[in-house]
Amino acid sequence: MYLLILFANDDSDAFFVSKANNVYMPVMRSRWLDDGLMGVVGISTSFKSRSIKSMSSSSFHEEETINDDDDRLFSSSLSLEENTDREKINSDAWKMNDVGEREDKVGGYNAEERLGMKGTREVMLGEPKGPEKEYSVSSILKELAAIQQQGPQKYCVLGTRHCSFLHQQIIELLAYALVLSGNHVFTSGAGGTHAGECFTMKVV
Amino acid sequence: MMRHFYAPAAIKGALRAERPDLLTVVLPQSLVMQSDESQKLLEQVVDIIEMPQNDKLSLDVASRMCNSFLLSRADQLIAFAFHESTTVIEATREARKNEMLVTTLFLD
Repeated sequence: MYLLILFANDDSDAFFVSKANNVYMPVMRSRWLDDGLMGVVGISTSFKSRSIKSMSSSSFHEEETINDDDDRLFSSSLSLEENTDREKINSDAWKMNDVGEREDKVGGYNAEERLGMKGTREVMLGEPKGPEKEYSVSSILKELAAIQQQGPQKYCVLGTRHCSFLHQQIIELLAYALVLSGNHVFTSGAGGTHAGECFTMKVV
Repeated sequence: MMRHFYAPAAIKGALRAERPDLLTVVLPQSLVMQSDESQKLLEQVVDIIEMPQNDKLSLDVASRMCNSFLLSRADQLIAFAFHESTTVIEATREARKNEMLVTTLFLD
């Protein structure tokens, strides 16, 4: 069984994609790992994200030409011969476009975008994009203080009374890890509200 | 017949780490008000804070008071909640007001 633990804000792309596709799969990735993880994620046929679709429909050959394009942006001192070779490969890619595999230039990828030099492409998953919230001076100072205080902390773990067995295990594991790493855990021991308080089961 | 299985996961997990000094359990009411299963587990906990003054209050109100007490003691809050678990969500709001770092994990 695969378990996805997703840390996301409510409006994160990753959250929506995992819900929309009803598929549990690794969604955490960074922009720079695009190619590596896309290969894995692309296996799922039910995945409907635009960025995935354009990737999975493209062959590896095309992918290489895109990368070549990237390289060319950096290495302006390439010899003329190399350049013409690259032009040739690129023109091959263009031929594939004519076949109708793709609608736009190089599968909707702009080489500059991929390098993060100009604008940002619309990412359908992964890229952690939190809600735009205003940071007050106090909240920034609080985060800076948190970065400096790496030592044990006092954690309060609260939970709901209705909780499945699997959720209980996760909560148990979290509390275990917190204490093991020297943190102090405060929790409520009540029949009211606390982590995994109880779950009801029908006894026949 | 419905039977409640009391399985306080956070307490269980913390006990497993065998550092009794690092676990504090706060009861919203006195210990005798808890179920037998809870009491059995709580026997292993060294640091228990009871609130017998809340015995006459409803569990709901007592829980809220217990939660605010917990928040006053801790630096951070990790809350497991459903979107409709009002008591827990209320606690997260209170924690934010107290400028604590709050992590809410939704189970639904």
